[in-house]
Amino acid sequence: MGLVFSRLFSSLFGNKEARILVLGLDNAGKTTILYRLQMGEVVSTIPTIGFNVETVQYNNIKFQVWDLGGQTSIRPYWRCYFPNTQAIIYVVDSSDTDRLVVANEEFHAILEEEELKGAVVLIYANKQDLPGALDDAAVTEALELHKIKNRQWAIFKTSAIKGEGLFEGLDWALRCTTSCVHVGSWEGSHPKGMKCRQPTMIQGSVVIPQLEPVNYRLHGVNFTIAPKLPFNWVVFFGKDKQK
Amino acid sequence: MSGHDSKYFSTTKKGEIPELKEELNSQYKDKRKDAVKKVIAAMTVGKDVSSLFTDVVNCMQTENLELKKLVYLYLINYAKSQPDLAILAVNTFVKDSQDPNPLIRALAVRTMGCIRVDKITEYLCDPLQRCLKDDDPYVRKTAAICVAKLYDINAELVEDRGFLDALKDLISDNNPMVVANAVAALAEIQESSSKPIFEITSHTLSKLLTALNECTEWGQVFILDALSKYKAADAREAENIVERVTPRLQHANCAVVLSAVKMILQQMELITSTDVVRNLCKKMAPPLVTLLSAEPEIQYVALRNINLIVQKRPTILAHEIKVFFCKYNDPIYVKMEKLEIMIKLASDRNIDQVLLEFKEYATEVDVDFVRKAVRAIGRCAIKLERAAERCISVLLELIKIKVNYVVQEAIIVIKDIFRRYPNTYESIIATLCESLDTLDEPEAKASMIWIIGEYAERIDNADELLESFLESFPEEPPQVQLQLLTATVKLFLKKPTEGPQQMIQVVLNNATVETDNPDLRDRAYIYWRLLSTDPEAAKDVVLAEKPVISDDSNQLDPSLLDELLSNIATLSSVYHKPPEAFVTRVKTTQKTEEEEYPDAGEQSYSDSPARVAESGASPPASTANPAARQPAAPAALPDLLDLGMDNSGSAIVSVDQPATPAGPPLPIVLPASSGQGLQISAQLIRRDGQVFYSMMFENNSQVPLDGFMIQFNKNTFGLAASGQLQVPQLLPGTSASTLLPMVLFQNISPGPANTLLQVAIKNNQQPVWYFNDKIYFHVLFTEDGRMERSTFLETWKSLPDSNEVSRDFPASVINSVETTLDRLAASNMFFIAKRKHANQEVLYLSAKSPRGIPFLIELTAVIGTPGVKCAIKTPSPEMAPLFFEAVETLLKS
Repeated sequence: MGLVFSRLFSSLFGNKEARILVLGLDNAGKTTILYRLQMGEVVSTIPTIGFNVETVQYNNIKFQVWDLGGQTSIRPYWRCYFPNTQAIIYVVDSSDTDRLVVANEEFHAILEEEELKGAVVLIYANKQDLPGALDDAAVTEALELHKIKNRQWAIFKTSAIKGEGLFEGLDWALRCTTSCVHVGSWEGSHPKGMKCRQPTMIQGSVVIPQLEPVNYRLHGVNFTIAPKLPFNWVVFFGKDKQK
Repeated sequence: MSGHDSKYFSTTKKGEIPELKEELNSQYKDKRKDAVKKVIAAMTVGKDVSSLFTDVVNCMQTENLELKKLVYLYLINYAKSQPDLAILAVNTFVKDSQDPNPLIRALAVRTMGCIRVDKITEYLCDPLQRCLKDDDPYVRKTAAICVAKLYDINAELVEDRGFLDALKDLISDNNPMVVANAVAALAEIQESSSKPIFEITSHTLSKLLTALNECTEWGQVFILDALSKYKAADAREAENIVERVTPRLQHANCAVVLSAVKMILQQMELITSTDVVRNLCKKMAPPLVTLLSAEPEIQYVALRNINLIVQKRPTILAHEIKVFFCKYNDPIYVKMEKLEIMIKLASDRNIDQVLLEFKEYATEVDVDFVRKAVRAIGRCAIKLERAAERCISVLLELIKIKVNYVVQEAIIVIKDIFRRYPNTYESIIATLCESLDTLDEPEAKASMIWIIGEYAERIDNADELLESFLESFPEEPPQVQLQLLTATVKLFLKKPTEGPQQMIQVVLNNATVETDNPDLRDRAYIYWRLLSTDPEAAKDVVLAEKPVISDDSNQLDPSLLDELLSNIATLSSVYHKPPEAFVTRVKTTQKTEEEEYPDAGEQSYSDSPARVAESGASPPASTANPAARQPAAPAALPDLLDLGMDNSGSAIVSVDQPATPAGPPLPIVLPASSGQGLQISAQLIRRDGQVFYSMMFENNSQVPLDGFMIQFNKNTFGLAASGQLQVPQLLPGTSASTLLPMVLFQNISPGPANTLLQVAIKNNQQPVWYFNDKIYFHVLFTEDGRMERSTFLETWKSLPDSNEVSRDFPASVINSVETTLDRLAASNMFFIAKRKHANQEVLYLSAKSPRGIPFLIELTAVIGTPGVKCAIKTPSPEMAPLFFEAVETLLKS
């Protein structure tokens, strides 16, 4: 029975992917981060003249991650990618202290963009493996993160080469951006409460963009998936529920 | 307009483009693919969908090959219209050129070559370099062609990156298709370059000959074309090459056959053995004949080429004349060409057969074809002496049919036959005269009249015949009039009786007094004088023996023929014109020459204003070599004028000078070298109480420039343009001057006072140019700066001593108080008083800067000795450095 629902669900949302932009100055490590997230490997990169886009799957959730070139000549075209973006990953080379000022300017210019008003901001203080890299507090200071109003943001110390901090940051972003509905079913006695039971079998997961509440009617049961659901919310459909 | 009319401007309809845009950004892959298909469909039917550029490019990174191809197609079409955004595609190209799938790698490199955007070409060099060394031959062969495309966009880049050497290496590739494409690319590059880039050596020769047998038909064409340019070292090598190539003659593709024929013909030049040549000729005939069984279009191309081949080596097809006989259903253009070749192949051996054919054609319905057939008979008669009589009898038979245009055409060719064989066939004149009345075409009439005049003594009623024409003399076309004139003179000289005498009077009168045609008049006067001075001499001149003609119509000049033969199987051999006559290909050498021109122009230009300065206000005498100044269009005109009026040729009055505002030349603020050919000279000036930015634009680039705009950065005095920059479209090689009115205190920059003026200029064709200019403070001094002596004293005293600043100008010198004062007054620095202090002159002056800030000036100097001391008192001493700079400049000038 549950299988049917999950199929239904996946046909509704299965191909839908959240959209994440990876921005930052040139040589910040954006492309390396992208492929670290996608393949879990360190690839050798060349300056990105243009963009890379990859589908990253994490926790059964698919994202479309756009890595945009950071050269001065390409920065003006970032705005072409702003619409429909749920999250921005802003990558800072923590060891390049000379250009933190520029990074700050670009960062706040992005925050001003009307089309990105709804996007959450995740900052990677990257290249922590290099000697002389500033820590997250120093980068917070340099980017004047305290000035950010009306927006969810977080900063993580990362090292794309070592693979540290990337997924922690991504977890945070996911919690902010998506609601994940696991559709499952169970056979057994009456549950005491939906939240405290583990389904016997996870049938599928879907990502719901948290823009507006969505009403669903499934097998005679009406329910609403509200925006900003907590992470990994589980909806159960079992035999008992139908009565 | 009432308030609710605004609804007409806001529409709820989104239109196609926004809808497509939305779909392209859809989260669903299928929807995106459909959207790209819709975009391509719109593009194909001619809608402008270039505004979707980024949205389409964003769909480029996909594993879906179909979608990728569609996006690439879009890119090829629109990259040129969105050159800035095209950079967004670069990374994807780079990635795709490393894709595991060779098809994608090749697709990427092929598309890269088709995107003709200068900005991104340099990014594409690395992928191209990789692809040239790719493991997959399909990628390599695609990359080879890409080099040729890149060469067309940026030849220098290709040379710098060593792509030419990489291409040459590809000739030794083990894959024949790669070799063929490398050859094609090199040949293409060679055509647009004057440097020897592609030269076949004996080493590459064997590679090419090996590849020839294995590669595709079009690859064979490339290789054969390249081989035909190869000069074999000796007859033996030529024989060897030809031997390896002869199997290509059997190829089903006619392009291969023709290229092989071309190649063999070229090499045959070197072969000395007559046996080998005869053998080759024998081998070439069947494939050429086979070409004539193809579709009419191909037949036509083949015939045009055969036409050339037959002229060079008639033996090849000497026995094949029958294949050129026209079929009743051949298109007319094929028939005409066949006829042409039949004439060329006609010989004593086959003339009977040919004449039968011609006679047949002369009774067909198509008038042009019939005429050509009749003419062909005549040309055969001229060409083959022994067959002439048979030809004439055929012509007479045709005249008897009494079809008007056949008769006229026949008369025209018979005239030629009479020229070729004088005094041989006069017996037919009687037959010709029978059709006299039916002639209505000028050429036929003129021919008939010529015949009557030429044989006047044998035609009893020649005078009557001519007289019948004379009645309408004034109405006849010039061609006929000229013939009538000559024929009448001949008649008169041959039969000086009363009739002709009267006729000649009438004709000469008509041809001199009554006519407007100078040719006719001149000829008539010559005859007239000849006849009136010495009739015997006239006889010698007019009735002199004429040189015998030969059939030279449609015979090409041997050098042209050789050039056309080396271009067999190209358009050139179809047009029978050398390629330069109809292809305008800019060779790279010409480009470099053009690059040198602007420099020369610039030099000569910056040269002449300097002369203006030297010689004051008088027109400058430029001694520049006229030839060197040729590229500068304005300078060429005075050259011409000058040649007419003055033979010395050295003094050239430059008329383009008045275009620049009077006074010294403007300093160059943007040299042509850094402005991509645009040179800007500019200076702030003051005129009639108003500050202007006097500018001169010179376009030394290759493109017309228009849409000039100007912007001033914040500066100490807040100088800004008060109006639009008025510069007309600048064609290459022209210049324009303008006065831009300026206002003060518009955008004042904070900080210490300085003289920096940062200017940005843009136009529609080039990037924005930035340059720095200097603000001369004295330009800003106002006209109301004059002070009464008493006011001066008062102000001086009222200001505290801390406001007094002074400076020495050790290099400045005042030679004459008067001229100095005049000069200063011209810049609104007004003289108040002067006194003598020891041997020094002390001058007091006043000036006022904008916003009424007074400057009280004291200049102390020994006349004629370097060293001037300047002391000023002003309420705003922070301006003093600028002021001193201005004074120093004024004293110097």
